[in-house]
Amino acid sequence: MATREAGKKMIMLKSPDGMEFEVEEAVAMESQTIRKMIEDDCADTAILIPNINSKILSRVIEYCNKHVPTTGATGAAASDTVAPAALAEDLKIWDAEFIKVNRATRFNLIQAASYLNIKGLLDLTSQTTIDTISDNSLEEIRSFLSTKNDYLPEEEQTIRRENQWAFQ
Amino acid sequence: MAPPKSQSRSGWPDLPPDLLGVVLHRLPSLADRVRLRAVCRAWRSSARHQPPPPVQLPWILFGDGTLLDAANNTAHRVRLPDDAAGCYSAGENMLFVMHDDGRCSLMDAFSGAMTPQPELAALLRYYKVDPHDGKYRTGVEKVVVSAPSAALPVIAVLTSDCRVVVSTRRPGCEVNSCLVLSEFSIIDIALFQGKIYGLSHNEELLGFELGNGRLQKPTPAGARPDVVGGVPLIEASRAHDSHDSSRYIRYRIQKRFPDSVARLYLVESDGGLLMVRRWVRWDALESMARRCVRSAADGPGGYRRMERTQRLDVFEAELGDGRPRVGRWKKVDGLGGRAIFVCARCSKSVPAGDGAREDCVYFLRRQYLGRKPGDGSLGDSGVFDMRRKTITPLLPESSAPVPLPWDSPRFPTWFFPVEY
Repeated sequence: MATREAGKKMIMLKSPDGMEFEVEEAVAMESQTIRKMIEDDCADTAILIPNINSKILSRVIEYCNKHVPTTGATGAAASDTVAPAALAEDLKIWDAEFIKVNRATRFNLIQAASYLNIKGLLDLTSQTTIDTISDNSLEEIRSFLSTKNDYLPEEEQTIRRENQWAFQ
Repeated sequence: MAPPKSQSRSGWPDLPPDLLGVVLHRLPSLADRVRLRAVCRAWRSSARHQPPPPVQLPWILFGDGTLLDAANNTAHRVRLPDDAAGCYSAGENMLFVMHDDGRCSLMDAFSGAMTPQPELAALLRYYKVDPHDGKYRTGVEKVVVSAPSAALPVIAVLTSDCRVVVSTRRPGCEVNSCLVLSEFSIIDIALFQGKIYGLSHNEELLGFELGNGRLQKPTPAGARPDVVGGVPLIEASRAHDSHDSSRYIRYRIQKRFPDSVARLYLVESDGGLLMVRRWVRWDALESMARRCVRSAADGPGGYRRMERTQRLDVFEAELGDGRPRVGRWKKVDGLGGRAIFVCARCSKSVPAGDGAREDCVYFLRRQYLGRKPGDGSLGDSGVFDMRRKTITPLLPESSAPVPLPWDSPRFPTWFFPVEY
């Protein structure tokens, strides 16, 4: 693979608002979408990431930097020295801090994770949403998600009647 | 996948359908999914096009309308009518409800919508079927309902005296037509390829044709319905035949005083018809000891048998070329990537998934009286792994106690929620 041969090969990522981010190739390849671009040789100079602004993109890169498996600093052997369980625990704590963002940012992160196809980030962002939704009433879900109820009263009644049991 | 349209819009209703799907797919509880879909119009319409989430464990329905979602450790309550005397899991989110006065209805468990079945009720009254659940009189054992999309949608009711009453399932207010299946030895029934199949206690398989125009025109009020005989497709097992001439009486005796008996189930699975034989040993000594200290929790008559499931065998019906008496039961070692759920009142085969393990038989004992408050177990229920030949508890022993109200320990049965 390219990373092995070139050591720390760098990739340039560009956000649509003109910011450029220089990241290690291995970090960028946490995204399956970017990995595919690199492997298909569509990434000679800089990769434009459409519609993900610099604020979100920098957070995504922050996530990938943290989650890139071992190769980052000292090469493939790094994992031998750190106990995997401790590492996983450390990552979990880091993730929990990372996802402490407002709703709009979390929404943008889900979109970015989905577009860039970063499974770990998608798991993390959607799981947080799921935890917010679970075991809450419809009104609570709407208020958490700042979503307006756009049903007519009769429609709302029908929906509730169809599944009485879930709205008790 | 197309890139997100715009970064500036950050409202949740704009969540692209595929992302709503991601969230829906990861929400384990059906109740949460129903609520999430109902949030706003955009989500309601885009959720319709999402693939169904992975298969989970079915729910467990108790006689009082409690629906236990054991996989998510939550319970829901179906509001049964005040005069409901018995409620039976009837497939496709349907419950069959018998009222105090003998009236019958099909009830949508989720919406509460009721469809009365007066013709069926009249027949059950004629045969003196007691509406009350669980009494030692002739009662309803099992109800099978075919999908509304079936060529001939029907409801089939198996009574505890081994009679099968079949009624069409026409939309409300239309008159239904009824049939009676004449065999007096049927202990389980299944709908399979537009026919009703009956399994007798001695493992005979009978096929009943519903077509032939019998159910096309309504049965006039007061007229006796057609009585239809079955075609034997697999012969009775000889070992059983040598015992007793009266099949009917022997079945009752076996049912009341089991020592080591086989409980039989008939279930359709992946285009085949399966018979599950569950070997149960009754621990006589322990049972006697228990009876000496029996309490109110033991239920009517103090019948608290210490049943232990020992082994399960699964057989597939080889129906031959359709000529009578050429079929046989062929033992199978796996379920081809499926799992089956059996109990006396509702059995079904589902593709294995997140909740249901491949080649496993999930069983639930019908009578369930030994539960103490706070005891999260489900009596003699379990999971039989056909490959490893092991039985494991239905609920992991480490799981939190099931949050059931104390008044609903009776007659658990599988309930398969269908998501629309």
